[in-house]
Order: sequence, then structure tokens, then C-alpha cells
Amino acid sequence: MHPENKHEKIILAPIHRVTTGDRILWSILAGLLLTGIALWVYQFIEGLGVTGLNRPVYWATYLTNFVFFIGLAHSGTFISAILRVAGQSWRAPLTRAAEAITLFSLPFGVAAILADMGRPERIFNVLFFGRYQSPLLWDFTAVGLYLLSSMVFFYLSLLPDIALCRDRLTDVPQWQQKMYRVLALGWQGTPEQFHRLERVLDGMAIFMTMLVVTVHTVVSWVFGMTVQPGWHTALIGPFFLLGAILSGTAAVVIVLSILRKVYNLEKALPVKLFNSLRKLLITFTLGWIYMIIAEYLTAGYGNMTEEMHVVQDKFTGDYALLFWGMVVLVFILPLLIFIFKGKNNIGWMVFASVLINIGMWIERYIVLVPTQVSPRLFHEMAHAKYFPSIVEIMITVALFAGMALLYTVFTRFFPIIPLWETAEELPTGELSHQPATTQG
Amino acid sequence: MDIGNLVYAFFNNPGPGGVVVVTVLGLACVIYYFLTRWIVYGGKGK
Repeated sequence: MHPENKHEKIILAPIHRVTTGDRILWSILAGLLLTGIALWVYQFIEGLGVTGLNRPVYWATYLTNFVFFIGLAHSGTFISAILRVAGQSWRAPLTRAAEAITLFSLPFGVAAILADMGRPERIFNVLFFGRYQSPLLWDFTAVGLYLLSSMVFFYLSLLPDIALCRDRLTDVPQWQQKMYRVLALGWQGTPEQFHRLERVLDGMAIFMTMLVVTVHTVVSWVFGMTVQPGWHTALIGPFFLLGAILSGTAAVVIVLSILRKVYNLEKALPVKLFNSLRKLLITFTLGWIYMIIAEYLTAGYGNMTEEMHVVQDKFTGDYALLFWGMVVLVFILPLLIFIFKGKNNIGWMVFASVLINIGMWIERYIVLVPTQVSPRLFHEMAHAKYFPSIVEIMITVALFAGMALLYTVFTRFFPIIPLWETAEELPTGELSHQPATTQG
Repeated sequence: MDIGNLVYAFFNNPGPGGVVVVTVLGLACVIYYFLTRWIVYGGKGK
């Protein structure tokens, strides 16, 4: 390795140092992922009878995962694109870690949909017999475009750093050098290349901001466009969107703190970055409780029979523990921690962020399942039951393991902090090869 | 030409929706390809 300054040395250090610990972690994660794939094959052969799904509950744990992963994916776009549009330069060191969450969580969101389908090959019917009347097709278009755009946005912002790896990391294995050579696309780091890259990233940031709003709104409309209690509300779009940005930003805090600790990136990821994220999280947490109150006060005040079945189920019935647990995990505890303990304390910040993400997964579950247990028309006749089977639980674990596997492997082969973007933030003289960028 | 029937046919027939999906994603691929090319070629040959 031939880094040309201290900043490069710190950020490039984790690359080319695959440790025994990495191999053990990757093996465990790969094992969990393979177990999930094996169980999915078993489910495909045996049918959805091996899950807890049954009439009238068709969408439960798998769809909860779908909504949750799409929500996590919003972290990258929020941190990178929206804050870029807003001209927030402090976001620079966080962007790649956040964008990587987007990139590696979206495929597992899509995989959750496939797991929910008894006949997954019928996904192609969307293309062959697509009918634009259906919100599912809106979803397919929006999520497909979001995945594609996120990949391009991620790759383009990574391009100068891949070229840097190509030029600096000359002592890594041949295959790795070849990978950098191919992926760098002959990048030379000329001022004109940087100028064009900045222009495209600025333009894409605006487009990505629109996409992030569209995608989660459309995801919510899959539920909202059905005339079901708890789902058929105009608030469901912004509610899903805000929840997505909240869980995504909390996920960024968790990932950054792990990277900071494991890869010794304390200088590159100072505590003040976490303090900025803390302020964002306080805002989003308050926004989330506002949405909850607006949603349930409207439903409760209306006192419509079918709505009240679902509301009562959540407030005092079978789902009360989950519902109030969710309020404690997403709102009460994190807010107290952020206000009284979180400032300058990464450990407390991470703890609150973990609570938020557990709570947000429960929130997705709470939105989906109680409505189907007491759906419109059916609620007069009976009260259905749903509990996830071991197959659903293990496939869920596999989805999270798969995402973590891709993420941890990525951080060992590519710089997780954007060198060319953070170089601009350093004082002159600390860098010998500062990229000659111009603002587009 | 009956625009109303055309709109109705677009939304209610199996097929056109798939064409829209493929067109949107295909067009995005083409645009992103040329943008990447434009960036990478910046300053070459000068």
C-alpha cells in the first residue's frame, strides 16, 4: 500500500486486511443466508402452508421485512442526496456508509416479496401482463428505478476512490487489482472529470430526492389503496416515508459507530457527526409521534365499527403489547436518551438507534397484521389469528444476515469513507494530492 | 380518436403496464450509461 497522506492511510487501512475474525463472521452470516435459501426452497416445494399465513392474513412477516428494508434503504438517499441538495457539507464522511445501506438493503426487500409469493416465478407476470390500474405495478416501477438509480449514484460517487485504490493498493492480490482496474473505467482524476462528476451527482441528488418520496409513498399505497381499516387513509404515504427516514437514519448511526470502532476511524468520523445525526433523529422521532397521534386520533374519533376493531386490537387487545412497546421503543426511550444522554456519547446514541429500529420493525408489523386479522366485512364473522412460523423467522434472519454479509465484505474491499469528498474538508497542506474539484 | 377509451384500455388491459415498466427502466439504463461515459471521457484527449 502506498498512501500519499495520513488521511488516505487511515481510510485505506481496513482494505487488504481480511482477518480471521472477518472470515468467521462472513462464514456465520453466509451460513444463516444459506439456511434461509434452503428453507425458501422447502417452502417453494411444500407451499405457503409451512408459514403462519392463512386466510385472511396474506401479508405478514415477509411483507413487514419488505417495508422495513425499503425504509432502511432511505438512509442513503436521505444522508447523501437530500443533505447534498441542502448543501450540508458535514454529511460528506457519512455518505458512502449510508448509500451502502441503501444498496445492500434494497435487494433483500425485493427478496422478501419473492419469499411471500407461493409461486415466485409469477413475478414476471408483472412484465408480461402488467396492468397499470394496480398499485403493485406502481411499486414495481418505483422500486426498480430506485434500485437502479441508487446503484448508479453509489457507483459514480465511488469511482474516484476505486481509481485511488487502483493506483495506491499495489500490494493486494492480482484479482483485486484487476477488479479495481476494471471498475475504475480508466478514471484519471482530471479537473474536467471531477467537474462533470459533481454536476451529475448534483442533478441526480435532486432526482433521488424525488424518488425517495415517491418510492415509500407508493409502497404505502399498496396497502392504502385497498379499502381496509387502518390502511385506507391519506396519511399512510407521509407516515411510511417519515418512518423510513427515521429508521434509515438510526441505521446509519449504528453502522457508522461499528465501522468507527472496528476500523479505528475515530478521526475520520468525529463525535460531532453523531451530534448532527442526533438532532435529525430528535426531529424525526417527534415527527413520528405526531403522525401516530394524527392517525389514531382521526380513526378513534370517527368511531367507525370496522376501524375500531383494529384500533382496539392495537390499544387494548391482542396487539397491545406490541403497540405500546413500539411507542416506548421508537419514541419515549430514544427521545429521553437523545435529550439527556446522547450528546457527545456514541454508546447511548447507538443504543437509542437500535431501539428505534426494533420499534420500527414492530411498527411495520403492527400496520400490516392487525388489519388483516380483522379485515373489512370479515370482522363481523370472526377474528383471525396469525403467528409467524419458524420458516418465516429463519428466512427473516437470513435476509438480515445477507445484508450484513454484503456490507461487511464491501467494507473490506472499498473505502467506506469517501476520500475524494472528505479531502475537500481537510486543511490545506494535510493532503499532497487534493482532487481538483470544481463545484458544478 | 376516443381518448377516453384509450386511457381506459391502457389502465385496464393486461400488457401496457409491463411496457411502461420496461420503457422506464430501459430508458434509465440508457441515460445512466451515457452519463457515466460523459463523466469518464471528461478531459481525455486534451
